[in-house]
Amino acid sequence: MNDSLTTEVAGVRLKNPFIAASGTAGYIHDAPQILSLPSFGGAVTKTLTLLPKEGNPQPRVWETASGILNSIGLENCGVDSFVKEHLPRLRITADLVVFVSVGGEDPNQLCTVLERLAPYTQHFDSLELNLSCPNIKSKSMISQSPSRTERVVQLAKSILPKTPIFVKLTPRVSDILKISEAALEAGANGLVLTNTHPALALDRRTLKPALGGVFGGLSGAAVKPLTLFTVFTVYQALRCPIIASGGVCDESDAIEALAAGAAAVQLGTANLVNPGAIDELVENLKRNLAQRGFSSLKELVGFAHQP
Amino acid sequence: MKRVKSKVLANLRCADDAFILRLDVQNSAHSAMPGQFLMLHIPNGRTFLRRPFSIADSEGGEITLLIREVGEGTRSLRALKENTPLDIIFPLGRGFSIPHADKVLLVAGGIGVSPLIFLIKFLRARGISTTLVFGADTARHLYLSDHLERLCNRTVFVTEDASSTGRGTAVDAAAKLLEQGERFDFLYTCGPTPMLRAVSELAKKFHLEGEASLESRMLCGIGVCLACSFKIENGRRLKICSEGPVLPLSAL
Repeated sequence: MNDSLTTEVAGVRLKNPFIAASGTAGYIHDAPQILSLPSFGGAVTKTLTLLPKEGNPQPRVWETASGILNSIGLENCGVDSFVKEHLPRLRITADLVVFVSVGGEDPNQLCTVLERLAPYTQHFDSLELNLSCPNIKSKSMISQSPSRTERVVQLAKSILPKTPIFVKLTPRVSDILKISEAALEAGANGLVLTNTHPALALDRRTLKPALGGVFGGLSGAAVKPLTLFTVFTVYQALRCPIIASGGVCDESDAIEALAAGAAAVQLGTANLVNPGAIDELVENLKRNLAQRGFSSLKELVGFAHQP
Repeated sequence: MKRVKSKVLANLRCADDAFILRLDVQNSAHSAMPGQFLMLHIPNGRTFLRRPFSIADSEGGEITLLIREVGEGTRSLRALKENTPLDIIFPLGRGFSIPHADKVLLVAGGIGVSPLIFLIKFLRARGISTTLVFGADTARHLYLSDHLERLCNRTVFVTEDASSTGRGTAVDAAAKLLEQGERFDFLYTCGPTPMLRAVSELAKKFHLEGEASLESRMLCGIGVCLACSFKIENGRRLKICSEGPVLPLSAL
């Protein structure tokens, strides 16, 4: 292990800053070898809901200029099956930090999921509360409302008081600071900034929505400047633990996100397009840091804010 | 399943809308089975999502793809020169099973013939008799028909515009063979999903077991992203990329 790449976000220690994003690592133990998951600092499970979800109709993905629209629709096996089939097998190596992602539209159902997980906290290190999936049918996402965000985080914290909780927010709000503050004041240990951007693609031939679920979430290189904007803004105002998510494709992107204020970064789209690239990214990051004269990753976090 | 640095060995037009791409995979320890596929990165500087392609042949460190030009990505592939490096992930998915059989029926629709070409070669090497029913909209799109005629024990070509010997669809022609009392031990099919469902019905009617190779839009191709999730007959969902693309006909 190379210590210069270790990082800590809200007390969660990672051997390197790369985290495999939710939906790109399956349920961790079942991820194909080609992904090289053990080389990541951490990995997030597919988002869990109370009941199994079938997800959205096809097509579920659409390529756009430097980005992807996805509308998977939270297809997952439901918490009961997860607890039985996957939870005891999440720890594939001693040093891969395991994040369980929990989401859904209904706060009560979401809390029930957390209650079902509560007796088994030894199997995971941290919780990612997905309050921002754009591909579900409700009128708004929980993280579009400061009061709903606050309430859900408070409940989550009361159910899992000892588990570090990261709240994954949507960028589609008028004031990201208000939502961030609400989450943190309610007890969130950190923020994941951000989920995909609600977006639309039309099929050029038919001029109808390209995705079966009509709208999708935009990710990939196209959204990196938007992620940097959000991370920078929130770090500047709140100096809180942040995991950047959105458009990080290589080590240079990761360095920028860290400089903007993130302490770790998620790889999503990049992970799906170039599975296994992580090993090279880790090496490149090490070299790039040395070339820039940083002796550790920690010196880099928030660098863009220094005078 | 491995990421492999490949290169173009040959790029040949074989129909007004299709071409053959031969790739070098010498440096891969893996070889493909009929029905498996690869994910290919199109080096045109614009498309960055990999695209899935069936493997039409695999032998001696080479892979052959039969590709129909349908959009920007496949047009870019047609323009690739010899020796262009290509970044591929292969072999992917579950291929066809090879049953103990004397005589099999293969039903192809359009570009769906691609994985069946490899399969036919494989079956023939095992002494299994192959009857191919191949349907397309027009005779020009009965890809590699001369080659297939030589490769199979029997071929039936049909087109919707009657520009070939028979008029109609591959499903109609296959039904006719079965109704005439011809017996087969197993059935394979590949083509558009509605066609596969019709073939599945046909197989059920004639108590014939078989397999279908499904086509799907994919993102990762390795069983992670759920872009290709497909609901099978019993309500369960499968990932076409990793639990398919070949499924039992009864699952459709």
